[in-house]
Amino acid sequence: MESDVLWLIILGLTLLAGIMTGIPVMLVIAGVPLAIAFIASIFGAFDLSFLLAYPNRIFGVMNNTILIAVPLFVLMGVLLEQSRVAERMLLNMTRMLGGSRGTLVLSVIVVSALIAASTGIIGATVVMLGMIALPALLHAGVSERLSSGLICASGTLGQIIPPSIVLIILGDQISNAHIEAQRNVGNFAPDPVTVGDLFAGALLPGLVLVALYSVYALAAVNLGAAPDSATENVTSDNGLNDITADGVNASADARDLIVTVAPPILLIIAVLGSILMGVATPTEAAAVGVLGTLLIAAGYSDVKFKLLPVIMFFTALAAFGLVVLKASGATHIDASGLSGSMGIGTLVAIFCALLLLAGMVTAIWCLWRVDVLVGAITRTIEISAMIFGIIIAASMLSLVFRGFQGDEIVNELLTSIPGEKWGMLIVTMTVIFLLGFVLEFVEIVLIVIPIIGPVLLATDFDPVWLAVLVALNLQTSFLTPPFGFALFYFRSVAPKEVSTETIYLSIIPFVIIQLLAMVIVVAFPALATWLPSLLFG
Amino acid sequence: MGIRNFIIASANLLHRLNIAICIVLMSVLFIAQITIVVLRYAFGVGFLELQDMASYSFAMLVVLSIPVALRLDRHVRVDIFRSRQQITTQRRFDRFGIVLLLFPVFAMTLYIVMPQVIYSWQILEAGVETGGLPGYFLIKTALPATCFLMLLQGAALMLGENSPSTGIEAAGERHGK
Repeated sequence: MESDVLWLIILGLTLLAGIMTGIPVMLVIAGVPLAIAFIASIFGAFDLSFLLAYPNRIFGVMNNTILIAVPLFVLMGVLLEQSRVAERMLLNMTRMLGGSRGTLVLSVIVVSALIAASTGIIGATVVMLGMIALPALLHAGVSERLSSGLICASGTLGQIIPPSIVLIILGDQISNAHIEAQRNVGNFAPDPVTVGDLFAGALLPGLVLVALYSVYALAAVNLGAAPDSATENVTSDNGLNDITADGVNASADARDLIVTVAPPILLIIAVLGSILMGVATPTEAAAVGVLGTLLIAAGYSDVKFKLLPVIMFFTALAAFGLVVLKASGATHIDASGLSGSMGIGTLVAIFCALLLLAGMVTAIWCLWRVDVLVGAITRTIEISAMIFGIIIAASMLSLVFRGFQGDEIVNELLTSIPGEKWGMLIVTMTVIFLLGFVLEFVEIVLIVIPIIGPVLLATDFDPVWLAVLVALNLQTSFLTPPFGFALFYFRSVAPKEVSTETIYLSIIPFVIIQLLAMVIVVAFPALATWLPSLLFG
Repeated sequence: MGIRNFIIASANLLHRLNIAICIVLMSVLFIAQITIVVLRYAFGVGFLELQDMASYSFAMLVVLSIPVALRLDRHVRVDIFRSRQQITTQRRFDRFGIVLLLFPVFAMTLYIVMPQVIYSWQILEAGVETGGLPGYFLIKTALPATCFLMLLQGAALMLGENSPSTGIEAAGERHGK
């Protein structure tokens, strides 16, 4: 036991050092534990037969049907990004709502929340906001610091607002930890925690966060920006970006706004709604999301074919028709009597399905023609590979960790903390917050949750509530320097005049807001637990 | 020199082949999944074969995509210090990582998994669901294939670094965005 603790400390320190070298994190969290295990086995401190289970762990990841939703949601986000749909949405919203500083700031937050919900890819969102919203904000006289912080923080909203890729991974891990914790206390048939539960649980806290961002940004704009009013007038005259919505263009803008913003919003509502209503699993909803995105992207694509948006519209209508027919119960094919009768409803449904197929094929062909499709799929494969690589590497780490009896040691350690379960919670949250300075969401979830999850969930903490807290906490990992993805991406698009110090300082209030949101969820657990229990019983 | 060129050339070839396979897998995954949704929700019919096709494609994609990302340098790095290092130092660390971390992990996995996969081939292992698609042994084979590809790409990255003419960096740029 004593020597195990020593080896675990060595493992931890070596991991940290390895990660800092800049070697891919995936190689470090798989390779370092293996190396330490080999060295320890020379001293008789590790039983190498533990490692024999490693391929089965990988097969377990390969056969994990929950994770199928991950590449599909990634593809949906990448398609929305690369077909510039999200960009157009942002452009039109800022032009439309950017009359004053206050509304501009609000529109940036709202649009980020929408884009976040649809793409969920931090890098893409932050880059887009940095390129389109930052000039608009600076023009309107919003300070550099507030603009930078606002963009970085809003860009990370996709992690908490469902459907979110990291919530799927977190849901998978929390569910395993929950089952293990319940089994340890003798409950062999616990209520499962699903990804749908987590999506529902994260929705209200996500909206609370949006509200908190808005309140802070509005207060900061109105209190701190008085001396800037002169520059506002000057810049709007020579406006490079015509931000102020003048009356002449207003009606055209409104049409643009509806045409560009409505389809993605409807899609998000359809995808999220079908998961939350329990109609579809996240994987099925993700597939529908990809289909809808294909149609939207093709409708807006540069293919020289005027009827294309119309075709895409009717295809979407066919999909909607299928839903209506299904709801009216007219479509069911009785499998027991295939020779038997097919009602008129079924025939219409088959027609709709064929229309859907034709529309989908057209959309795919168009996106292939304009060189969006293959690029988007390749990008999806790369992003998914990053996630899968970490998952597979982390199972090596957890294997070796258990080989050193790390789970028992952590259990003892956590239960010896004063303050019972609340002490455990505070320590865990602090550790996760600190890890966020060097690692990102996926890595932390896969390293920390299998270790501390079973211990924390053996108390009467609600698993969904705990997951939401972890998610809120981990959102800061994208914002905390030196290694925060959002900051990196923002730095890469922000003009040189915005110094790196400004960026680092700018996110401090937003990290505080994040912590405030956690306190709110701790104080009012119903924020996280009410919606899932309402929807899924 | 002959062996060095052979390794680099076969790594290039297999990388391109693997990207193509991953693109096909991703497409099959989506098409199978959307077909399942339409058939099930609109018509109330389902086919285990389709379900298996989706999960098989996913299973292979999970592992086969990893060497693609390795080759294109897309795996997450923490570059607090790396961004300030000279290129030679960066490469030294990368070699370090390949020799001390990548090679042992994937060589060991290959060594452990091979007997399992060979056995799976001998009994022509099918999926867990009865009535689903046969050929689960082929899916299992994706893991040793991935290990082999990781070792090969690792070796190619080691060998290719000295001469930019190998096209490894260039390939990374081309697929970059």
